[in-house]
Amino acid sequence: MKDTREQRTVFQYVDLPILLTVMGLMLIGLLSIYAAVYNNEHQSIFDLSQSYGKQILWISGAFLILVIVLGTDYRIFEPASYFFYALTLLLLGLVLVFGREVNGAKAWFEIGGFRLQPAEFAKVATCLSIANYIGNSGLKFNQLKHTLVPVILIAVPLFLIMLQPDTGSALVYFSFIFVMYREGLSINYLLLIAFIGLVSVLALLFDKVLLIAILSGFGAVYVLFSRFKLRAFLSYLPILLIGLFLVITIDFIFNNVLEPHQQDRINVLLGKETDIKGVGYNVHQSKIAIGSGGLWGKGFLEGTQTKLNFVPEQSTDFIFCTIGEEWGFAGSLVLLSLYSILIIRIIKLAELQKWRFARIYGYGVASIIFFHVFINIGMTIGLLPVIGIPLPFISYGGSSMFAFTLLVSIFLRLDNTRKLVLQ
Amino acid sequence: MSKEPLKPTGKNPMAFGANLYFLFLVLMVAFVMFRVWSLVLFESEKYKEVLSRKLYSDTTVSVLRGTIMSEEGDILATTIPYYDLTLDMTASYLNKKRKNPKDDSLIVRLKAAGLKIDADKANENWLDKLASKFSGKKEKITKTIFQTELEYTAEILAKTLGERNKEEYEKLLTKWYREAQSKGPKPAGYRYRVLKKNVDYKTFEKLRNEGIFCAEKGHISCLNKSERYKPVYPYGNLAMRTIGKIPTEEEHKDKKLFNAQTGIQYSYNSYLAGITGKVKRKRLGKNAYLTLDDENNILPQNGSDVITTLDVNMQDMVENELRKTLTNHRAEFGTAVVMEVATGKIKAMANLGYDTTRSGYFELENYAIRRRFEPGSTLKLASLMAAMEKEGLTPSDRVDIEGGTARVGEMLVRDAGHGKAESNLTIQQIFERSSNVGVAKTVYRLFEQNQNKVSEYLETIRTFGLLNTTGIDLKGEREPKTFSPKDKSWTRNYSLIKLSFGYFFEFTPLQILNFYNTVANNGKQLKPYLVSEVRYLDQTIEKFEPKVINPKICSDKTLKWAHQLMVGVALNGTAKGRDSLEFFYAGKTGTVQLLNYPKDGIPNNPTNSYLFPDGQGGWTNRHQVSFVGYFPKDNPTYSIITLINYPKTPEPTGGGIAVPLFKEIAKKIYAGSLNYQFRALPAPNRVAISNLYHGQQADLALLLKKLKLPYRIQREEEFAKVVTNAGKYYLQGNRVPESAMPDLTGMNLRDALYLLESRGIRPKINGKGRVISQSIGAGSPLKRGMSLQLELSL
Repeated sequence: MKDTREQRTVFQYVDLPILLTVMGLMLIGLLSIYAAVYNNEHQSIFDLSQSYGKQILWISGAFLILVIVLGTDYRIFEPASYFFYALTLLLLGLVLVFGREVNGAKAWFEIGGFRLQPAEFAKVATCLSIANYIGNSGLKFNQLKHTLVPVILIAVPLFLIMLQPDTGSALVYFSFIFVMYREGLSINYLLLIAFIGLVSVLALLFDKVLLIAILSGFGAVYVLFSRFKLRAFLSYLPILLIGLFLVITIDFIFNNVLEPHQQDRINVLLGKETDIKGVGYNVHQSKIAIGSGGLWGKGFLEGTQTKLNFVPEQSTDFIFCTIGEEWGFAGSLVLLSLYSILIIRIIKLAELQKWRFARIYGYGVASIIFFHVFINIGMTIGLLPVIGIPLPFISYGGSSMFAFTLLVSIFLRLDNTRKLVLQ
Repeated sequence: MSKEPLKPTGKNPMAFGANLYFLFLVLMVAFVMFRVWSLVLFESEKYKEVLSRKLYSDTTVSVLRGTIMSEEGDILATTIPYYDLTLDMTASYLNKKRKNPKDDSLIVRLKAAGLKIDADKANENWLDKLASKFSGKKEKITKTIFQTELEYTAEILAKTLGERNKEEYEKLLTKWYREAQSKGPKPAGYRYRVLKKNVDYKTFEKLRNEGIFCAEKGHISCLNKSERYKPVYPYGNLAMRTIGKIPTEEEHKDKKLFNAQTGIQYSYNSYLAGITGKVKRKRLGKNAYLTLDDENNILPQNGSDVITTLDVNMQDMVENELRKTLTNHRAEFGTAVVMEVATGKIKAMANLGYDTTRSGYFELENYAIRRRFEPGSTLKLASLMAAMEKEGLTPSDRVDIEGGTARVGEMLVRDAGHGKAESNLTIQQIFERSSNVGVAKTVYRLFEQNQNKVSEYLETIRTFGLLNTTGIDLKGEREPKTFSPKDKSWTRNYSLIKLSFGYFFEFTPLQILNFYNTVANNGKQLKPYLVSEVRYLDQTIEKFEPKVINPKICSDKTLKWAHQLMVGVALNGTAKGRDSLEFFYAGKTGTVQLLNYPKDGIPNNPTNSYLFPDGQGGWTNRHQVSFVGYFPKDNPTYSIITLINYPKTPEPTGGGIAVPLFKEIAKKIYAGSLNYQFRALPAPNRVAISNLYHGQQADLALLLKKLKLPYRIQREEEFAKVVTNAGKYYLQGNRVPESAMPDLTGMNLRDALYLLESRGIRPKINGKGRVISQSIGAGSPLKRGMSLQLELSL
């Protein structure tokens, strides 16, 4: 590029706080995996037959991705986004046919001993294409078409992932709502989603007639206070109708759309079932691990709860409880601080972007990471139902490691450009 | 690129939205942190406690139940360890990937396992064929251990357990596996599946190294065994009510659950049950525990063995004789008890009742100690003895029985069997003919008519030991029903008269027998007992000696006369036989007319013996006949009671039914007693085995450890022999072949029985202690139903 200064290495002008936090998280992840699956027979952390040895491979691969992305021409990302998006959609379609079933979900390609989860990469592609679409000037969310296209961009991969089924990965796509909100989507949509969520939970928990009465009552009071204006009545009517629809159909949706194990998990979370041995087992064990870790933890490799295999999936989805048990509240605080630094830094840099594509993409990255962290830790400590979703840069697994690295690397590359241009 | 990449957006128009978004993130993170904080701060203690409960557990260690043996050491009831085989269908090993090696084909392995295989049947399955068609290389196909081993496992199961055929096992295992693997709702108990119950150790060992059960190093086999015990009664139902039923495992473990209330099993439960161990353990990993030294640990100890006073041969004979009599007379139930006069030992105690569902006589209830009856004529001895002891009555005193029917006091008394209208009879004759009138008149005249001495009569009866329980060492002995002027229904000039010839009072058969035994024992009243010794391994824990309750119940003169009265019964009286016997016995018959009892069928219930809600009270044509006595008359060795309830023979009498039974039993005991003497002689060529022990390796190791003797294990096997060499002990593993007679020498009886049981051999046992010789040599081929004689010695 002639109008900017030459870059001496790909790492020059790369945002150090982001790079360092990511590396810190990877290191914490590696140590936690080592602690979670530690056994006397394989003490070397470089033992490639064990998860921790493999994780070192994934981390190395991640650095390779970082270097490659940083060395790529930044102009390629915007035009390539739709192509990338189409490719991942194809993969998501193919995985339903040729995928390998693991834990009941057809989410994996298996190629020569390496497993690839296309859903992880689809997030990156969706993020790029949404940034591309919304980033076009002249977009107005008050136009139906302008709202509808991003929604379709989100909905198609979401639908394909739901078919696998992989509820956790699918849920992450809702994070793009926040991106759209940042870019001018009315807050009413967010409120509507919150309203739907609240009514659904209440409808599952409480008497339906009572809820209908309350909803109607609110309407009546609202109309009363607005002095029986037709407009007030008409504006409340859709909300009332949605509410009523939810209350009436929620049982049907719950029983027929959700898988039995998901129903159980939700029941456990809502306190309708207390089943320490069955569905609630994971969460109960995980809570024991974190709770017994105390303030300062039991120390590295001292976590009995994780070492004795009480907690399932402890090197992947439930990795947080290993940290909670061995490093205590202090360790959890450090981990969440790192994530907070990472997310805040990404948002801050996104706000600094002059290029709308880069800014929106940045918001997407922050939202995706935030969603992963919040859902993963929330499920580990029993705030949310158990949904399989990895903790970024920490959980064991090549696909998620590569996908998150790609996600952040592209952002770093875009930000890099900003600095180059500024100077 | 034509498009300008850097589109300046100018002033950020969405600052408010961004801030709100930012705020939302911060709030969420704070929320999560707060939750973690609350987990750590408020619930930490709770979870630490939960964790320590999971890490440290108090584990109960179940122990084997003790054995009940006869006096000669025959095993009457024991338990043999058996196993329930369960499969853990969630064992991770089942899902481990494995290549399907060509040379490891089913057919080769089945042949290696020593099974005859139809070559065509054991072909490769279709998946393998398909795979090799596609790839050309079979090794590439990976399947789970479960899939590769399924067929082989099913075949092995079919051959080893034999409950199902191969196809059925394949179906069953696949079903269990699928249910355990399914994502949806799983059926109850999907994890642990019971493969077979009551399997011996050998079968478990055999299966453990096969198919899906054979786990590689670092993996845990999905096959588990849970030790249970199997009750074994080598003599079947013999003396079932006296010995008691072996409790279930739960009852054995927890005394509170065991409330059978009867039998030696219950009465001596504290010895038999042993000590259920309780140890604190720390969990180290999956299925790995460390037993901690803890002051609260209770070391497990197997139950002690209980040696009874019962004689198996005698018990068997008594039961057979009783059954014969009951069958002949189609009686409702009966009991026969043999007691050793000088010691009070119960040598045999048979209780048989007719079971309508099984159409035969079975040990249904311990009538001898659980039921009480009006004694009838057998009480006359006590009445006359009281008169002799207190009022100077002699056998030669005369009483006018007024032809067999007389008004005594306010009662019209009748004698059974009105024959000769005699009037002036001696007391001896009265007793021999069992005259109600004679006894009633005597007792009434001496104790009530002329002077009010009713309480003296009752007190004397009490001194005879009749109004108390015998104190036998079985729980559940019924108290006698007493009757005295203090009772409301006592009627002057009536009640005593009826009492004197055996009504109103109610005694258990054993209580009556005990009284006669006391008379035979020259007035020395003993406590009857069933258990003579409690032993643990070869050590005596406790020995029970005869216990004297009352050294002398009455004067020698009375005893001499009582003896004379009873001898008369056998020689001239109601028990006079048509056969001449080579020995003489003495005793008294009893025949009681039963009262109509209520519909619930339980006669002599203390609360309703005389009260009949349906108003159908009164006499029936049902009788209860009995005979109680002892033999030989000059040197009383055994006392016996025989009691038959409701025989269907017309006009039943004690002399006609109970006496023949008594005589048959006495005759056989007498004939057999010669053998006992013979058997007591020391066996020739007795081998010294004191240092040659043979048994389960784990047990022996424990024993040597307890004795603090250094030992080394040579070859791990289920069974081992102790060999000493230069002061060192070696546990030499002894492989016991399945199809040949095992070497049993040096084993205790339980181990020997365990080995024989699984081979279907029922041994005849002689002596007690450890096996010193076996009639069929070790290594001989087995045949079904083979009979083996084992000589045991201490």
